[in-house]
Amino acid sequence: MRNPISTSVLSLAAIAGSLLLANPTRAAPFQLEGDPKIAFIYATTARDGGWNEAIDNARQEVADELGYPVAVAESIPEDASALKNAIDLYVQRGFNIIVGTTYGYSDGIADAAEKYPNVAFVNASGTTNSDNLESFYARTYEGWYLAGIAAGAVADNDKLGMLAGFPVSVVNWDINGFARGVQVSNPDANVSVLYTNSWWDPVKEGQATKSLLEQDTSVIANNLSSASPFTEAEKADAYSVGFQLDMSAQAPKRHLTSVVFHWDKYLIPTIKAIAAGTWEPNRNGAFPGIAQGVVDITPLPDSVPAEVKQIIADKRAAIIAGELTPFDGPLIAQDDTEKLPSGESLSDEQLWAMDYLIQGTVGGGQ
Amino acid sequence: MSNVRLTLERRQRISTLRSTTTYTLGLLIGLACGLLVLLAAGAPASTLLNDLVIQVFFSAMGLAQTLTLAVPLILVGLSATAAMRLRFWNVGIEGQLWLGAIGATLVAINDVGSDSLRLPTMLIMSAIAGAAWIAVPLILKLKAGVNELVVTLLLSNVAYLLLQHLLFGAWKDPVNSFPVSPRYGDNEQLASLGFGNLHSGIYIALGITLLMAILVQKSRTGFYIDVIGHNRPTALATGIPVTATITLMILLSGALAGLAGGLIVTGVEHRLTQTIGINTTFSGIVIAFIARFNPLAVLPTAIVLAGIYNAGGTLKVFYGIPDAIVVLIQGIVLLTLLMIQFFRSYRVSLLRPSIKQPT
Repeated sequence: MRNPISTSVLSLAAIAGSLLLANPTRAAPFQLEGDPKIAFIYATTARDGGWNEAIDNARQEVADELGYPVAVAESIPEDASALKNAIDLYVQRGFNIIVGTTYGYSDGIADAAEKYPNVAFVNASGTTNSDNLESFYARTYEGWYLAGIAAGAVADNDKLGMLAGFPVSVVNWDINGFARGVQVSNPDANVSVLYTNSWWDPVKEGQATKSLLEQDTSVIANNLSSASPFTEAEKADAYSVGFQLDMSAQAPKRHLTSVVFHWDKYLIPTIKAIAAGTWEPNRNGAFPGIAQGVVDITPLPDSVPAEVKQIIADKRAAIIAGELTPFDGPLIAQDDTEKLPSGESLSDEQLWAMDYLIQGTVGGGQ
Repeated sequence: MSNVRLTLERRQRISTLRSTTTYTLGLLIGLACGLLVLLAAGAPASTLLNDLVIQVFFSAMGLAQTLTLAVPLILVGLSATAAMRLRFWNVGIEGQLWLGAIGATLVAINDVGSDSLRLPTMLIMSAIAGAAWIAVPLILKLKAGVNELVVTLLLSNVAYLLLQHLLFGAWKDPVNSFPVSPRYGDNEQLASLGFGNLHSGIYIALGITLLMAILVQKSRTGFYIDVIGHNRPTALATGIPVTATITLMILLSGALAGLAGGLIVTGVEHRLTQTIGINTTFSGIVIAFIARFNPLAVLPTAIVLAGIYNAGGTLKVFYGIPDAIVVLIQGIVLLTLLMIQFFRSYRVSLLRPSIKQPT
């Protein structure tokens, strides 16, 4: 089905595009007209217990700290026509900072940014950028790496498991980051990977967790956000690792840690810059990590030995100092191909193209 | 005790005026009930009329959005109409729509045909793909008597899995590795009319509505359809080509749904995504029922329904009304419209007998 010629042409176009973007002619910073009025647009409900809720927590921080009017629209579908209409309505009512929250908004928000050059747009996990649009995501794999070190240390065998949604790069780098961390504290361990092919399916996630637990898996890492994996793991006395929000309430006894977002650490400075007239959107999108405080892990319980906590603290400091990345070479894929030689670390372009799982993971066949 | 009786009487002839006033009344009653729900949910009464009615149907921006939403709704309404007139339950409109979008994208990705003919090729392919998808339940029904309800419904799930399979595999956009197809070229997009997001697909939808009306109301095939739909044994006995007529109309139903998918991807989305056409089976069947399977009536019905959906978006943006309330209000309006049909078809009168009943 794949047309190799058109695919490689597109890849060349993408590379050429990113080379051009690497040396953009510096335009003047974006200037906002009027007082800031902010609108957040969600594809589903804002308090969804996961992705949206992490952004919505930051929205409350933005409203409290900056004091600007903030409006919210929920369940605006990821169709270009629905999103563009919502943006039209907001702009008509004088809103001039629009926050999108899903990659499904990428095209529609880029069209809107072109149509309204005096409105500032930011879009979480988007793929489009311009003079007045910046997409942002976080280096979540850094948090997963630290969580992996803790998980490898508390595992009482060499079997760990991870549930994930779809085999896309932003998910694959979480799995690979976690496996990298596990290898630090438990070099013989393997991480069994199950994709549920859904972003939210409590029944399927619960069943997948059970099947992992039946194979004696001692730690369940969950890249998704329903409660069922945590309750299943707790019942089986296995540790669990959460994502996006602090999931400790779902498994009070056996929750190990959660890889969490602090989007306020990105949104507040960005909106301040927009209001001050100093904002220059990054043409490759904003990509903050632990160093900027946007990603972190929640405090570890006493079951993690003190020396392991020290290793995690050291690695965390090294990541912040820029001395370490979770994907320093060599990086070997499951099928034994070398993805990165020793002595190098993955570029952002290589991260966004991560369509493989590394050695130390099992399954996850695509 | 009471000697007053309610009687029902079937109306012999229903004038267009009566139909129109009844439906308008139904719409108003539905909207009034919806308004009560909105007020209970905390929307301010003072601005509601302006935000809903004026914004959705009378402001240029709102009208453009309503018509944009109406384009695929017109086609899925016609798709349901084509099948329902023959009592064929096509509850797999979404599946045929997704196949249509896949067909159009197949043409775009493989650069089939010359550049100038690319867009028509994509649209024709979307109709063919939709027809091919409904051919399976059609053949099973004609040859083996398998109930089309189950097959069309389940084939929609298969179609969605196929869509995901393509988007996560061969057709994944290499530029950003998210599960969407590469963006279409300029010659693979329908022209924008410069009126909101409205695109030239509206002309296609209007033209097809007219052709459908001629087909079912003026042509010989239309007469066959009526006979087969109302009394199949009679149709068989009188030598009407039953199988040929059913085959034609059901393939047409699939083709129209497929074309709806083709118009969504070429007109609005400009690439294949996982979120197109969700819930169009429901919308198509509701439109066909409210329009009483009359193609010309599908047009205003689809536009009103699009307006109701558009108003839902407006409510979410202006008042932060949750999706559940929006769906509830939409449900109330549609139910009222369906129920009012009863009063269109029947006369309800109070009978007060002049002669005393013997005790």
